[in-house]
Amino acid sequence: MAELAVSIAVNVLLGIVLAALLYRRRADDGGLLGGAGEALDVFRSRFPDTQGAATVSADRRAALIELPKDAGIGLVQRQGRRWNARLLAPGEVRSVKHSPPDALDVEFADFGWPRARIRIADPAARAAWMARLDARGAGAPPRSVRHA
Amino acid sequence: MPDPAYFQAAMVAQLLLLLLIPLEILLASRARIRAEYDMNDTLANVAVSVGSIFFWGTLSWMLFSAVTFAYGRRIYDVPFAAWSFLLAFVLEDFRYYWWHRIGHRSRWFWASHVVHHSSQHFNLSTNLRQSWTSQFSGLILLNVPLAFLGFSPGIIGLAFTVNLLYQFWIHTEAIDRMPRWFEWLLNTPSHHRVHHASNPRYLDANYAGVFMIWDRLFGTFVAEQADERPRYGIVRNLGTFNPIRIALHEYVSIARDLGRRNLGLAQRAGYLFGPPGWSHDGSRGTTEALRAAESERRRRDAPPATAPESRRPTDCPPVSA
Repeated sequence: MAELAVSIAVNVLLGIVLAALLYRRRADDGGLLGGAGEALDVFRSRFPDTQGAATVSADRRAALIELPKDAGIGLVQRQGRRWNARLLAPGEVRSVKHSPPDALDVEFADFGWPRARIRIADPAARAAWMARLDARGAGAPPRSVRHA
Repeated sequence: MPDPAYFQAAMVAQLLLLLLIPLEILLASRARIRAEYDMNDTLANVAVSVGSIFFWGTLSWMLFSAVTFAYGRRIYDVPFAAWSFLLAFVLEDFRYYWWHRIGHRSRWFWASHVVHHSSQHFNLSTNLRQSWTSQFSGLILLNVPLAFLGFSPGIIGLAFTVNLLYQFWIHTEAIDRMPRWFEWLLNTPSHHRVHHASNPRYLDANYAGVFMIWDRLFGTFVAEQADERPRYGIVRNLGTFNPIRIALHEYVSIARDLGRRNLGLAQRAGYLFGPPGWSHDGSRGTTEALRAAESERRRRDAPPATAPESRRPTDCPPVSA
């Protein structure tokens, strides 16, 4: 048990040292989306050949992608210094809430990616995306056929 | 039994290896080497390691019990000597290869091992991101045969420790290639970058711990290509740095799948023990499906074939054999 405590203490100490070393690099922790084209490029790096129209968030840290022929919704989001891309299948959106002034707080039915905040300044676009995202959850088929 | 001094030396080596992490950060910040760190990612690695050490420390009796039980029924007495340690080391590495391969190819075991692959970065701190559940996934039983053969728990433990210590240095982008003979025989940063990549062509490859011969022998070796940089992480990357979510997310996902209605027993077994990405309706992609789609895309996008004599000899050469 003493060895266990020492090992954990060493790791905690290591964490403090690493945090101190990395803290000053945090400010330049990567880029922001330059526009809809770049958002699509990020999405295509995971889902090649995707065609669609991207709406980049006001803070340029996320984008929603309308895929053609009701293929669903794509999401690109900053995750530290990397970009995550996800195709939102029916049932993946648990809830969508408007968080004033301009954000949509989306909760996913995914323990590994629980939520996202997407800021959309244009009220009409925000309302439209809210409705589309909401349809990915509330309007989803029952659990047994969600992936059918 | 090995002298306890060997284990103390291994402990000291482990501590010294940990010091390489801040060194890598410092050298990278001065642009001396290639290494990319993200503060949240690195701290998540440390937090996951604390949980991993806790569960390893409190549950390692399960592994020791299994090995000790088998050693009590051994068919031969292997003495502790240089030759027996080397033999144990090679056999332990063989055990590691299959442990690792099963850990990638069956979802129940992947749920434990995915933790180590869930970072989108690849640096020395990635070593710290280890499973919390390795003790009760069931794969500890792979340690039993060596003990049954007559290798003492001490020799097995030492071989296991040295194997893991070796793997520390291969989690880096700072080293491009080792000498050709080294790349052929042993696991290297290049081979392990492929292993941590989620590009379809790199998925489920290079399972070796120390000796690459196992991958070459069993057809799982893939060389790092100059024209395709590894994209680290998993097919469905995480959107969180929360260590509890990192450690347990795949178990929750399995539980959700098993909780579906209208599934047969075979389909439930598929969600539990099938390869990651398996689904009863084909709506997700296994490694094979992702590779096939990627191959099809490459074939479609490839420029029209040119006559062999007009092809430049340097077109997309593999970086290593």
